[in-house]
Amino acid sequence: MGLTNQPPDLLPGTLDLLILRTLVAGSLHGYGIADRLKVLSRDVLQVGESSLYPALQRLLLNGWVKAEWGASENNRRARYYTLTPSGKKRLNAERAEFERLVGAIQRVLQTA
Amino acid sequence: MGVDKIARLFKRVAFALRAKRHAADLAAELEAHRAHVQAHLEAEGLPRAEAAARSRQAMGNMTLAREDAREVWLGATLQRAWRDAVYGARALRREPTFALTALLALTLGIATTTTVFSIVDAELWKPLPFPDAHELVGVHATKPGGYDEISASEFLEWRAQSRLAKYVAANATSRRVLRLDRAESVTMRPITPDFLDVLGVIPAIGRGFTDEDAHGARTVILTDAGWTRLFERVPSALGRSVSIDEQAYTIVGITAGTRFEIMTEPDFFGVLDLTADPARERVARTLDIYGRLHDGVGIGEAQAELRSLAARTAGGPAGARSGRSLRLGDLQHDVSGYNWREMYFFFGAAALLLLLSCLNVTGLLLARALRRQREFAIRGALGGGLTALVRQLIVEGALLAVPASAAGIVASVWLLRILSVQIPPGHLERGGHIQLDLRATAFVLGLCGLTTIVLALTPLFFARRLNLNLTLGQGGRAIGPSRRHRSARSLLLVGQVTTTVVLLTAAALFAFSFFRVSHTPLGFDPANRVALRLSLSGPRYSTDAALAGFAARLLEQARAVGGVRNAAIGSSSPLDSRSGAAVQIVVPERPRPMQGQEPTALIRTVSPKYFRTLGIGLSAGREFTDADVAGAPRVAIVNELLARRMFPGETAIGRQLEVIPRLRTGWTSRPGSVVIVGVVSDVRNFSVNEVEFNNLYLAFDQAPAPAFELVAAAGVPPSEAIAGLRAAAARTDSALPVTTVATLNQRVQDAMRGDRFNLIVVAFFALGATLLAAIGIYGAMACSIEERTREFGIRIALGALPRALVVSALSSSLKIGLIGGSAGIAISFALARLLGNALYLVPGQHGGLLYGVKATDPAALASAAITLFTVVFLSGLLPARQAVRIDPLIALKTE
Repeated sequence: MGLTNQPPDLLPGTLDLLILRTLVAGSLHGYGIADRLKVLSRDVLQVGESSLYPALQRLLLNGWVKAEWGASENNRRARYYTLTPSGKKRLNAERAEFERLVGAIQRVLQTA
Repeated sequence: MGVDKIARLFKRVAFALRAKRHAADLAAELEAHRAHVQAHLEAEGLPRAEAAARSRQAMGNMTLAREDAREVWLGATLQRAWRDAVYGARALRREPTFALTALLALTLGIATTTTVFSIVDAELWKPLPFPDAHELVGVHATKPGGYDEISASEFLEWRAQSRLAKYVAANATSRRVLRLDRAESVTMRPITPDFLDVLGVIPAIGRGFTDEDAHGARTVILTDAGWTRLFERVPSALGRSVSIDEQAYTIVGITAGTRFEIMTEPDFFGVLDLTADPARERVARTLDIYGRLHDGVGIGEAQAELRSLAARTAGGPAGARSGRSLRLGDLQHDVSGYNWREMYFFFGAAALLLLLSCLNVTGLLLARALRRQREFAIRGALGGGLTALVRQLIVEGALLAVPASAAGIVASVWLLRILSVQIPPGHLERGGHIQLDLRATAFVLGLCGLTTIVLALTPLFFARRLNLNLTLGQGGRAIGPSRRHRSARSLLLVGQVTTTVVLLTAAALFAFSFFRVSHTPLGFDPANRVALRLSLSGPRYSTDAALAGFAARLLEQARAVGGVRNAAIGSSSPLDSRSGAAVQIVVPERPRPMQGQEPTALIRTVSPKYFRTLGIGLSAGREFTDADVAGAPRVAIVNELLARRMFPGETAIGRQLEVIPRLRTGWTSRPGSVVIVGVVSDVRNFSVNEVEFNNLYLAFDQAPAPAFELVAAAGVPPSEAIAGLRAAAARTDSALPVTTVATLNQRVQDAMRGDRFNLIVVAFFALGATLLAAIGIYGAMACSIEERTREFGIRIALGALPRALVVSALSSSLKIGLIGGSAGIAISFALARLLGNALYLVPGQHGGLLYGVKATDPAALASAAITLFTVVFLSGLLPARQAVRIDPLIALKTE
């Protein structure tokens, strides 16, 4: 499990978008989010906690997620993050914007 | 968006407030993460220990992770603030004149206002330094035309009967002789044993009085002042047996560290035994009454109870007098009620100065805003957000406000230190121990900080309305100020000029007043006159004969001193704070006026040659002679005022007067009437600015007083005469200390110290104001000339005369001077009318700040206006002359 302190090579703001997306299905703790990202991206995206936790704090500050302490599956204390309504809105907006951007990049790559 | 921003700000603040808790949360969260990693590794088949180690390794730098997470909340804000501060400081360094002027103006305003506020607060508002001070009251007896005395018997009756308050009494402070290794003149105030208890004072060393002390135990309590002055604060003073008036007393307590702001602190408190035979003591038994209300009792209730108790004790000697009533008042108000006019006057002046410095800084910031139009336009064009600009400007405001506040507070501490030495004694009722007041400082700092920061945002007000094209287009040519901007600036300048004129008028009035005070005839000649005060007490001087005998021996010794031309004795002398007791007098052959309505006179008892010694003119009749001794017909001398008032159109010589004795001043109590044998000129009794007093002089041998002054006219320098006279006093009775020594010239100076001090304070305010106004006008004019460089360049190129250019450049400052000057005079005039007689002596009510000059004095108003106009002219002229030196070629090219 290659967790490093180096942020993954993502477009700026993309990590926030991805975290929000992983939370759509329900609350997750930090490890769960990292795990889900890894599984869903088929091991391409390995998010280290040095970028994960600051990102989570940023989302908290903006009110897009809220955090609550709870017991995890193996009966440990863990902090669960839940998507807030404004977080959902944000996710949709960012997603549209991201698709537009990616589409633009692809068009450039295909035609150039 | 706006709401979000605010919500986020709140979250940040909440985070900062609970930073510890957040840090713990984050640490726990990271640990949970690591545990998950470990669990995952174990599930893959690794042994537990290795899984733990691997997981820790895998987590990498947890501290860094924690810090990064925290920075999301705090770090960026702090970093940005720091960056703004650095940028702001750089901007200020680029404009040192602006920075220095603004700092100076703010510092001046903060320092003076904090200082004056501290003094006013210590004098008027701060609670007395006793526990639950709001429960403390003072009791006075009033009668038509003034205060009346309260007798011991009367007091004892209320004290026993009152259910709403506990009353205590203090007798008058008197001078005694303390025998240590030398004779010392000390003051002692007899108090009822429960006096300190009721005030809430517990002596820090030793104990207070108990009821056992009341009956015959010779115990005293040393005050902080006495402890310092007489015993150099050694703790072993407690328990010492000391000889006071040749009787042994034991020091049972020391009120170390306590300040009695309600009275001039004596050296000792003695026990006032109200049941003792009053005739035994020479000090008369009239009382100052203090009280503490029981819980929840209002002043009104206590007052009503006191009045009904007093009505029941009407049989007492004083109670029967008509028109007499008892007044119970808040003690703090009693103590500080005397000089609130002065306090508020200076407070007002300081507030004006603060206003002026705020106006000045506003003007400076406004001019700066204009200069920075381009900077803000560029930042706007490059996409600088509003938030960033606001933050930047607030930080810049704080960069001015914070150092100015620090400098202001330092200056204020320093000023207070100087003032506590310089404020004339008696000028402040509650003593000169003034410290920087925290409430005052907080108030002024808050005000200044807010002003500066709010004002710092003014550029925004203009920048938001900027047309980027206009500012940045056409090769970046600077645009002139908008109409709105220019009128705002003029208004600020007019405001400064107006405020300055008001302060200058005040200064002119005080200067005129001081001139009048120092040129008023005093009625006596202070040159080369000296006065030594002596106080006789103890069993050896308990009879009139003993007092008169001492006086005769002393005079004999004094007249033999080399260089002394004349010497005499008097119970007091002119311009002496102890200037005689006020007694009431009646003419026996006339119908008696209503009780309490009798005319009053200041009474002195004086030896032969008293008037000659002091240079007081004799206008009719004769002086006292050696023939006016005890047993001879009792004689008196009056002043011209008394003669004129009581015997209008008649001769006063040969007429009789009867003195209604005053309990407090025992020697005035002599039965029978006196015959007037002479009339002397009026003198100033307490101060130069006083109401006219009737003066009644008795012959010393016929009414000897236990405390008196030896006055002498010297043919040699006063210092030599004083040494000789001291020796003469020591030869007469070596056990008697001389309590005070003064030359009468010094006394005249002291009498004017208050006026001089007031003048200095007001002049300081006026000078500060003028300086600020001059800076403000200079800065604004320099700025406007710079803006008009192109115009002047064209005019010079077209051949305009230099003089025309100067006039044109000056005209706007002269206009401001005219408008501001007229407004200032109008406001000064209106203020003078509004204040009415508040600044003047009103007999029986309050003293005066001004003397011999009307508050609407045209000369004072004119001199203020002329001074200000000159300042405006000069501070406008300097930059105006710059306009002439503009090189048209450069002026047109640079634009």
